[in-house]
Amino acid sequence: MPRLIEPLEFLKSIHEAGVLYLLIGRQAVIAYGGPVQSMDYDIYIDGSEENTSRLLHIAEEFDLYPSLPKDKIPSHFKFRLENSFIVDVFRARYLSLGKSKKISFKEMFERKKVLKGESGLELNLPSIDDLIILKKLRSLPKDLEDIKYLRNIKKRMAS
Amino acid sequence: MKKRSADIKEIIENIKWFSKFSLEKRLELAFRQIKSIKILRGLRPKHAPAHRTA
Repeated sequence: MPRLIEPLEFLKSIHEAGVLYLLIGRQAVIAYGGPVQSMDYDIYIDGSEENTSRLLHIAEEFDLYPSLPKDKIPSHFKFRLENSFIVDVFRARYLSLGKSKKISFKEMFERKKVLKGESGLELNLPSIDDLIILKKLRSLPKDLEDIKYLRNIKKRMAS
Repeated sequence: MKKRSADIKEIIENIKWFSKFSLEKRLELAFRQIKSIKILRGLRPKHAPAHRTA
């Protein structure tokens, strides 16, 4: 079995280390089977100190550097890990959906789908419905394209 | 209406084609394509930010 590309090795490592995360953004659409393009990896994590530290420890092994000094991370809901590839890390406890509605990491994590690859790679993804909710939050043209893909992937999975 | 159903048809065909690949291959294909675009644009990998190297 050929080696995985580095970003996948990283995701595999955080999965195996038990980091509480969800792969979100376009990479999640690609993982579900939508042929779209994406430069970066977005992950949504449980923002607890223990979970964040576990993630940062693995990031260090991959020479991924946080965009913020470590002591500043707890006061930010987002930071970036970067070097030869980029991982945007979201660590807010809740995301606001407008009209006083919100969705929490915990809820999404409970509804997660674990996708399994042929090499033993496993990835945590939000359910397709939750991913659509996240895409609607931003609603850029590329998000609307992703939603079309996700709706059709969902139909295909149901049939 | 015709355009919309043509779009949907294209999306369904794309999904059908892309789903033939394994999870690893799907993500790798997307990564390699983007890497080629980065090289064409002359982008280089980034290095440690200042607060790491200071």
